[in-house]
Amino acid sequence: MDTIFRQAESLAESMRKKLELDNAPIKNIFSLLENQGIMVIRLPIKGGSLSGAIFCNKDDKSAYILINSNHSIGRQNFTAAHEYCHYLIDTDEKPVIIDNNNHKSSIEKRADCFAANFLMPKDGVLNFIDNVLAKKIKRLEDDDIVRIREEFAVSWRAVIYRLNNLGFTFDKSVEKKIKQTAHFNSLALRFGFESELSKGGIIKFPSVYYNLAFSAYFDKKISLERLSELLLQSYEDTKDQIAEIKNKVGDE
Amino acid sequence: MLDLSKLGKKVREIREGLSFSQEFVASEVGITRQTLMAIESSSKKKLDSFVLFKLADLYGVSISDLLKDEVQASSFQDVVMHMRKSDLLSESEIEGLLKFRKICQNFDFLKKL
Repeated sequence: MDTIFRQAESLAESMRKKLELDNAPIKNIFSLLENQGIMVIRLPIKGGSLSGAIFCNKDDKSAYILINSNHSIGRQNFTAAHEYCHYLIDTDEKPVIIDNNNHKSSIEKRADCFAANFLMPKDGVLNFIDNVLAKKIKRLEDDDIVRIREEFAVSWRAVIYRLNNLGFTFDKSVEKKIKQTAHFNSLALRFGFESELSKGGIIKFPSVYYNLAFSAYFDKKISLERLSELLLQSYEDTKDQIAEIKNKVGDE
Repeated sequence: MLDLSKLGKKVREIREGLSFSQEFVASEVGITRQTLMAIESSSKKKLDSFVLFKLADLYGVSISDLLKDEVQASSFQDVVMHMRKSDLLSESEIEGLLKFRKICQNFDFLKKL
């Protein structure tokens, strides 16, 4: 198991270096993945246990990641990083991986460890605690946890495990802390931050998908009905969007 | 010439593999359960191509997959079917995954235009 975690840590570190991320938090992991040619598709999926999936097409080497947008943003970010790990080292052997929380094999644990290290790099977290929170001791208060979570944009669960893993302690055990989501959500609101509550799932495709779909429509290669189908929205909504685009172009 | 006898068997195999009921599939495709039963038992002499298209769409396969001699289901579908059989995914999760697969196919379609 140690090897798995060491592999994950070192891969996360080398990818951050390669992507020139320094120790800074990742502003938008979805754009980051898209910039590497990985298509991220966010869909609301009922059920609770399915967090994401990755599908690699061996013929043209295209890669698609599914994120369950019914989950909180922090959890979606974590899932994206988790799937990214699968993309980097697992999909040659397994081009299709479906991640539901009931399934924690060693490659899943490795992907979780990668996500934690990728989104919350050790030096980045320690620098933030030292310089921004000006905290010199290993015991963290709830306010600290809220601010760290806001900085690194992950879920409560992910930040609490990560901090514990980096040697920090809290007023209660980790198992008790991760159950305090309602408390942390209301603390976050008091700070003026977003809470971790899900906002009800959106449907979101990568920008290249919208570009291809709208271009195909404006080039008269597909009908408005077909465009609506591709965008998973109603004919009326699509018609309104087209009108808006035409107005904007008209203004320019 | 289209061999509808093999097609019926394949439609049934894929449906059972996904643990979808006939009622569910019939309702999604817009036909009666009796019609679906007739398709699966290959007692239909003619098949509306639109129904065929909607079945392929629902199952996350291409039409040519339904018409080939062997079910060369995409590996995506294999994994989904396996997880469904092992009770690791609910029906709404399966639907979500098939929608995802459909979007991937839409991407291919758009790239080739």
